[in-house]
Amino acid sequence: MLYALAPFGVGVDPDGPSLKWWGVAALALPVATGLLVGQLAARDTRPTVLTPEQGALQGCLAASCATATAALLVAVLTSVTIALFPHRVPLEGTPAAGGGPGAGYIAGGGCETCDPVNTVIPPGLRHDYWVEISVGQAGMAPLAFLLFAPFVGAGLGAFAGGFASRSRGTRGRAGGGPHGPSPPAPSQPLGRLRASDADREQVIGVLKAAFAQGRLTKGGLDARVGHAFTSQTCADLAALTADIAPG
Amino acid sequence: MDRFTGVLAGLLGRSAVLLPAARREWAEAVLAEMGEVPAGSARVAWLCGGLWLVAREVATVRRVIRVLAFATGAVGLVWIGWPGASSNSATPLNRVYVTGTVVALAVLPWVVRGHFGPVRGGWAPRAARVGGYAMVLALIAAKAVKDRYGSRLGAYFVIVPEFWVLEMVLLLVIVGYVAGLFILTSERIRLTR
Repeated sequence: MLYALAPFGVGVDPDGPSLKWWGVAALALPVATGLLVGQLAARDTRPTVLTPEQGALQGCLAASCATATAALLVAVLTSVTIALFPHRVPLEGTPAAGGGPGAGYIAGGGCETCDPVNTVIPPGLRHDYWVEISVGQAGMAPLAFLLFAPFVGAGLGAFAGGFASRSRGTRGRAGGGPHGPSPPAPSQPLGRLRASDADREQVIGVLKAAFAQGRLTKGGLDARVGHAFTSQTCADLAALTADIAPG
Repeated sequence: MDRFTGVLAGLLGRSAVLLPAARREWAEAVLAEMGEVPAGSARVAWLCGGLWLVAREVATVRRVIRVLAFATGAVGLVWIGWPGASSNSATPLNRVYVTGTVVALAVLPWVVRGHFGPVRGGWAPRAARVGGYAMVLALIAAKAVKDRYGSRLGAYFVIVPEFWVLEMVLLLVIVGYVAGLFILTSERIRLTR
């Protein structure tokens, strides 16, 4: 039972709409976090693109942290509210408290927490016992959820993160569309990004073709190939073929 | 005087571990040069200077503030959670919770630092740790007040061994949350590319 909003007049009836929305939020938070992280990961256009599995892992971790944090926050708010306003805790057995043996059982002297169970509570202490057992057992659900929150978040976040990474990555590979940037064509160097051996080989291939077509002299080819091997960035490589027509 | 000098030198040697790695050689240099300083008051002054150097590096303002803040929180938790009548069945459980929480929050930073390094740079990891500490202290204090209110008729609220096990599991879960927070905000854990 959640009590964080009880001092503000929000009912704690378990059949009421407010608690159902808490449940919806508990499931929606990890899914939304995983989707967001998966979308952000798939939008990353750096050369070493994340695989959908890595997007799912990031979604899993982010959602696990978000759900755990939210669960801890709810547990803190609930416990602090009960500690400050114990008189607002619904008495056990009433609908607001979620049912239970309640007034009839305790009024008859029954003791739920005694050992042995057959202990009978004196009449003068029964109301105090009813109040104390209601307060003592209040707010246990958020504390119990602390145990499961990271795993619930991890599972839902992994599913949502993987789904978002795959769907956005698929749209990107299909040609971009109006919302996503297209991946750059291999023949277009990416400016100041570090050049790879494959980039250098490609440029050397263009230079050799230009030499074969008579666009470059032997000396020019040797010089440019030498520069290609020492080029650090894609911009340096692009400069070597800037005056050579493609094809 | 020689014995006093030896005590100062030993103190300086042991306190050097409190210094950051980049500053530890300062203390070692002071100890190494001690032999060049004439014995007597000059050497005592030399070693006192080295101890002052260590104290000045260790007791930086930020560190003092962090320690004071944690001490305040711990004292507050003990003040709220420790009291209780002997007839209240929640009193021993609350005291176990208070002790376990204070010890865990004091020890965890050192344990995590040894495996995962210090806190990552920037305000966000530090703020996350402070927030986590505040939430855990508030949770344990509130739980203690709630349980104490709900167990005043101690004779009718017997805590059976199974309940103790569940409560210890909850305490371990909460400590696990704090440990997870420390690990994720440590320097050697890289969450993004």
